[in-house]
Order: sequence, then C-alpha cells, then structure tokens
Amino acid sequence: MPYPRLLAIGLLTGSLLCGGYAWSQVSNGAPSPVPVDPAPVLTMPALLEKLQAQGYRDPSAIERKGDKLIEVKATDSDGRRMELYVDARSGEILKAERD
Amino acid sequence: MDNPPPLSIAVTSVRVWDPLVRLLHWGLALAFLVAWTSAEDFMNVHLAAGLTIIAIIGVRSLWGLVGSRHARFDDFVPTPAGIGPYLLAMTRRTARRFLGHNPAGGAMALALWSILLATAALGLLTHFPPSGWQRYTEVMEDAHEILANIALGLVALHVTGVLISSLLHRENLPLSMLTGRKRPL
Repeated sequence: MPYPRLLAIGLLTGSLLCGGYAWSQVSNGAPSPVPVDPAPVLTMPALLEKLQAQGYRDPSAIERKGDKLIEVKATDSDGRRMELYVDARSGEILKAERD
Repeated sequence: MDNPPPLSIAVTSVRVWDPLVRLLHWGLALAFLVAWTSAEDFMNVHLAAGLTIIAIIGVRSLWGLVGSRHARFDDFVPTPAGIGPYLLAMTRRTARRFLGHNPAGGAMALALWSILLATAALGLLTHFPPSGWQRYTEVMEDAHEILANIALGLVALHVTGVLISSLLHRENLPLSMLTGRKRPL
C-alpha cells in the first residue's frame, strides 16, 4: 500500500483510539481530574464505630449517596439531633448541621 | 450573420478544495484557537475543543482516503526527498506552482495533524489517566504543553509558508481555502 494511505490510516486509527478512550471515560462517569486510588467504602459497622468514637449515638436514617457520601442522623454528645454528611471512605464528618 | 460561438471559454478559476476540506480546515483552526485560549481556566471548553480536534483529524484522514482529488493524501503527501528541493526552490523563487498542496504545504498539513492529535491524546491521558498512570500525570501534562507549543510554532510557520507561496505565485491562498477555487495551472 502506498505510504500516503498508510499515513492516513495511521491518523484515522489514532483519532479513533483517542475518541474511543474519551468516550469510555466520559460514559463511565469518571470526570475526576484528580484520580487517586480510591480507598474502599467503609462498611456500616466501621462507619458507626467511627461516629461513636466522636461522641455520636443513636444513628438513624442512614443513606448512602453514591460511593462517596453517606448521610446519617445521630445525637451528639450535647444531646442535639444532628444531620451528618460523612465521607464514605474515610469516615470523616464533612458537615454537621442541626436536624 | 451571428458570430460563431467561441470554441473555448477562458477558465478563470477551477475548483480545488471541496466544501468538507474547507470546513475541516477552518474548524481545526478554530478548535485549536479555542483550545489554546481555554487552557487552564475553562476545562470543559478545553476538553470539548480537544475532542473536536480529534474528531476533525479523524474525519479529515478518512476523507484523505476516499475524498475528492486534492483532499486525498495520495495527492499531496510528499516524499521526504521531495521537500528539501522544493523549500530550496522557494528561497530561489523558482518553486513550481501546484493546484493542491505543494510538497512543503503537504508536509506541514501532516505535521500539524500529527502533532495536534498527539497533543490531544496526551491531554486526554492527563485528564483521564488510566489506572496506574496517575504518577505520570505531571509528565504527561508537561509533554502536552510542549506539544501544544510546537503546534503553535507550526501554525506560525504554516501561515508564513502560505504568505510566501501566495506572493511567489501571485494568488490569494487563504481566500482559496474559503472559496475552494484557484486560478488554473
């Protein structure tokens, strides 16, 4: 095959590979520009243990929001009912507000 | 008695670039401009411009296989041995005029498409690193930026070459890329 055509096929293949790769990434819903190897999502007992260690008790209405966030209601050490937004991997409380 | 019709009509221009070639040419120029100006600040726009560049190069290379005469790679991809003498002839103002890309223009088109595709590919890998490649993100980003700078340099060289060829052969090549027409050989 004449080499101009080989060059055209090479460019075409390259662009198809790029397009395919981009498509696979976008359709995976992985727009994260800072991808780090994600830690595993906490199990429920591990999560509750972490909350208890921080003085929360009586957890209820535990809701998993995707694989990143968990919403949970619990009573804090002052007896106030709080709504907590917890990192599903680290167990860190991202936000706590009065319920 | 009426004069007999002329045997031939003087042809003042011929069609050279088909509409798709022109659309992709200016589309690529615009996409590169947008990609350049949106880098760092407008990542979604930057990403869209990069994907557009990839799509344009894909369609253009397909058109280079099946498109109209002067769109085909067979018509304009020069032999490596053919570029040097043509560039030399340009400096001596004796370069031959071509209807399609001249050997220097053909080489430039190829170089631009290749560098732009490589730039976009590295941009994608920077933005969406495959698993295990995260540690190379900075290296890939640096390479992406270096290639983008090379591409900008090539664009400047391309415009210079177009101007020189236009002056040398007394024709308006940018206008031809808009109208698709050129003075016949």
